[in-house]
Amino acid sequence: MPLQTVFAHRIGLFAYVEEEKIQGQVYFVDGTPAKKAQVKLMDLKGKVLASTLTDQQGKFFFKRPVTKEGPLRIVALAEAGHRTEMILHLNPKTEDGSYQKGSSVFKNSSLSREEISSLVRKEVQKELEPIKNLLEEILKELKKPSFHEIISGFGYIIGFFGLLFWIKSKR
Amino acid sequence: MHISEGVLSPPILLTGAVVTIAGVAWGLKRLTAPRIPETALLSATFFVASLIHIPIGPSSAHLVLNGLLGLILGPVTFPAVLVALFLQAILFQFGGLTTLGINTMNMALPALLVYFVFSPLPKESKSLAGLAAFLAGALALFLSGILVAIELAFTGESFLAAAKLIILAHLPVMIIEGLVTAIIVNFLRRVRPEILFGEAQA
Repeated sequence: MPLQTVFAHRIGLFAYVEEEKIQGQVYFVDGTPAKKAQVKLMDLKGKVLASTLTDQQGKFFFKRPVTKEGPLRIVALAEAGHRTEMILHLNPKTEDGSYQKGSSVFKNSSLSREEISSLVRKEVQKELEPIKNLLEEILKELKKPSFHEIISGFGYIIGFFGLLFWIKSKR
Repeated sequence: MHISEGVLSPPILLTGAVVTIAGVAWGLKRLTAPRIPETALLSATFFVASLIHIPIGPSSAHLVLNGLLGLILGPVTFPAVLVALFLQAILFQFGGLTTLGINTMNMALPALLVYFVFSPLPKESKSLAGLAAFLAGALALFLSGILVAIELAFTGESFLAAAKLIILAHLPVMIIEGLVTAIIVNFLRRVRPEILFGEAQA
């Protein structure tokens, strides 16, 4: 087994949407990229929309599926039985149904600075929305007492009272 | 009902610390080696109980189970509660470290009171024991609420307003605590009755 899988026992997955592309990276938790890992793009019902392999840097990309609006699931499988997944929220489409904001928008129009500014603000807000949702979810998870902490607590309680028992029984 | 850091004034925190140190010292002296496993178990139960949230209207309360601890552990309640609260503060940031004394007092003192009033439970009647357990569980939580309200009154909040808020928010929890205490007591009655009816107490 290659050295990297001996020491890095979990894989991580991160993906984001950029205009028409869904791109991301699969990596071992010590940082080394997961090369040639299989990545599948699915809808929440489990139907596989696309499948690909990561490159030498662990990176991959999919074309954004035209028909899907809702959140998608990305599943990554790396060598020797590693598996991880994430839910990707898609940013909403812009008003004219496209994702491309080319320079042609500005060439023929006579938009004022204020109108451009407000347009930019709206678009940025739309892009940020899924990221904000993801951040919120992460923060909520972080605040909750984790299973790990609960188990630790039990361990300390048992340890403390065990010590006490040892002390008391010597009398 | 864990009071956070920075809410109460130092004299109150000090009072809480002193009472807790006294309570813990007394409890540790009365603690015999054979009773340690059940103390550890109840401490762990108390530790986890606060994670069980009961959503009530706008806010949410959590189980405390100090009544149960008082009934079964008696004087040893103080050390058991202190250990659990300390770990809750360190691991989950529930309450705080400067407030460890006052929080322990708020939960253990009512438990002790309930112990002196209700324990040992009436052996003869199952329903009487269940009722006593229910009252013990509910009362312990109620008294904890009163203590917290008194302490908050010292920081300037009106006692009546704080008390009303706390008691009202915890009324459903008091009922649930009473029920849980009664159910557990009923179970122990069949499995390890000596814990409840005084023979195991030193």
